[in-house]
Amino acid sequence: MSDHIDNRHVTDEGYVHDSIKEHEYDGIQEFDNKLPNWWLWTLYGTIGFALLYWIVFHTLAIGTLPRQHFDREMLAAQEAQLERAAKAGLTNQTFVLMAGMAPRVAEGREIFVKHCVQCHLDDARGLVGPNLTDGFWIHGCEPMQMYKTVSEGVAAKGMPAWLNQLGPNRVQAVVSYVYTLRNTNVEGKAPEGQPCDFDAEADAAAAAAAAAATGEGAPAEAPAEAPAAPAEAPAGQAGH
Amino acid sequence: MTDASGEKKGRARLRDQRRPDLDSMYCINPDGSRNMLQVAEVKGRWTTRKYLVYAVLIVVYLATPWITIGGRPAMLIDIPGRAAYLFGASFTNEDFHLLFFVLIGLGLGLFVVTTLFGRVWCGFACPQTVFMEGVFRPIERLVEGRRLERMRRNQQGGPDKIVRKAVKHAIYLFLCWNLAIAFMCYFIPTRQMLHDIPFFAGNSTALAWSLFWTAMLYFDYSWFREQTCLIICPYGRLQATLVDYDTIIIGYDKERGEPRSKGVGTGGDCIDCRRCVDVCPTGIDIRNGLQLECIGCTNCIDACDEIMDKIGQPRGLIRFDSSRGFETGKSRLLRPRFFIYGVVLLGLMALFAVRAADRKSFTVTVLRTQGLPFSFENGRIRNLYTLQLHNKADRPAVMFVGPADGALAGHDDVEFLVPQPRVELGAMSDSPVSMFVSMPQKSYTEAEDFAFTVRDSVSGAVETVTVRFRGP
Repeated sequence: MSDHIDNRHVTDEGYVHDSIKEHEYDGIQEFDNKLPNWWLWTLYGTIGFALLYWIVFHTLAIGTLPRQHFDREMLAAQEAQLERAAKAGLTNQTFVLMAGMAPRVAEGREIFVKHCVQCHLDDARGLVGPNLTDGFWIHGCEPMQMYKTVSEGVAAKGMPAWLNQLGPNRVQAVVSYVYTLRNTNVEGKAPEGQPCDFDAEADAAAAAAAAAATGEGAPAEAPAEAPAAPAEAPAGQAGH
Repeated sequence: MTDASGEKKGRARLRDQRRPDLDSMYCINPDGSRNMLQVAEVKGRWTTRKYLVYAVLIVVYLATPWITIGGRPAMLIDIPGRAAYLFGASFTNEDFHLLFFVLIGLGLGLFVVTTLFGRVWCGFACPQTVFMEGVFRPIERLVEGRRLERMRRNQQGGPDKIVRKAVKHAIYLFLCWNLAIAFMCYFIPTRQMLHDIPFFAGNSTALAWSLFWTAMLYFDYSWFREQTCLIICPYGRLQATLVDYDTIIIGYDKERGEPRSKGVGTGGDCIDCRRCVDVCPTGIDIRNGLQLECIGCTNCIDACDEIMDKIGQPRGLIRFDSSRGFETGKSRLLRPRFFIYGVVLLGLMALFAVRAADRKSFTVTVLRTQGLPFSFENGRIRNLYTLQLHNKADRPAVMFVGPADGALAGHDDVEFLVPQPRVELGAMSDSPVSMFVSMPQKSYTEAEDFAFTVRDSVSGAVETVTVRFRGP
């Protein structure tokens, strides 16, 4: 189209509005036309927006960041799941769920620090009470067994029954906290009791299988219909 | 007179003298502000044809979502439902890969058309042009008058201008609001739309979208206009690579027109009346040759033909022709490029047809119950499976689930327990089904594959899934 170039600047009085930049690369030069104002204002707008966003969401922290929003929705979904599970009664899976919910675990830790550290020490490494972070358990390592131990206590060894004092919700919270501590192996009191490990996945599968067997092929609704009996997992169950 | 005002006046004078050229966009003033083009009216055979096409296309664009084929909208993209309906066929999210063929096919289709006829899509069919030239510009003419009247009114100001502008923008806003809703019909079923419009009670998301699109359309058609084609749309940028020496484009016959003369018969046929510039909706001078800004609207063809008629010269100083045609008088429509694009396009369409026809009316996914390969029960080995049935068809289905013939035939006393052999599924929905398989421990030797079959009683289609029976 080079033959059209001489048609440039076709004006009555030789009006020239654009300038050519001095630099030249491979014989290519560029014009220096002004950007459209709306384009520039869009650019300034995005810069302003970024500043505003920074101040509102990070400096003042007024708004909800996407990540927080996501966490909040996830928590709501988990709470809903927990509520459904609660209808079917307390199971090991209830505690597995709760242990995945940061606020519940934090609440449990608060209670633990207030009431339990006297005997188990701050990081649960054990003093009068046993070390809760090793792989050895005196009264069972399944969450339901822990729940029983905390609720009813072990009078012979000085462990109080906490259910009346704390109420079921807080006992559940503290058990979910203790559940997160298992196998963290903090150096402390020597192991007591039997080696024991709770496999959450195998437990879930066993619960689902038991539900499917009793619920006659409606596994989707099984948790609500069939109270699972996790303590009686099939004897021949392979690791996972 | 001060220097400042003199300079200002001088700049305004220069702006008035500015002519379209190849070095800058005419719709942006040298100082970066908007140069609102006042496009002149034009009449002629191409304009008539174009308005006919616009009329048909406006109906097509607006009516498509309202047509039902087989009880389903002709075109609906149901984003929350993750489904799409296209002229009687329904697609779910599992068919998403087919979108590749659709998009590439549309792109290639555009390549083929561009190779042959340049940017006819832009000038005749693109919704931006169809509604701009077919609806919004005629309204502007109706309210504010013809080009010279508009320019006079804009200069004079006063209540007459204000009232006319207010009326125009009110009409624009109302139309854009309706257009936004019409456009959203491609995404929200029309039956629901009829119930929800105009204020989308209880559906704040839809209301927000309708207002957003109203604002976007209003901004586009009232102020932004040709900049959408020149600055935002990527298609025009491809013009240089898609168009070749033989492509039919709108061009100016330089041989015949030059040198431009101010009087009839004193030089070339072009009398430099600049009608072709005045009628151009993107503000170019077609006599500068093919440019990115040319959307192929044919306004300049009709404008020039009218002038040629008046001065008694043959029509076609500006016309549809190939670069080769303008230079040698000969054109060649079919050439290798066309056949290559065409073959690739046909191949893709064939692939699409094969893939689309090959889609199953349902899918089965089998999952061994997680974390539990097998269990023992009274001396028997038991495996538990979950089949996920997904009805992809656009109608309810009844499916029958069972073991395939000869499944685990080599073992004694095998028991298949399907608690729910008959499964009813709603249109485009899914459901899990549990299956137990057990055999006495003494008949088990090693892990063995066997199959389940799932039969869709409506279509008769049978799907077989192979799973493995495991034991110690």
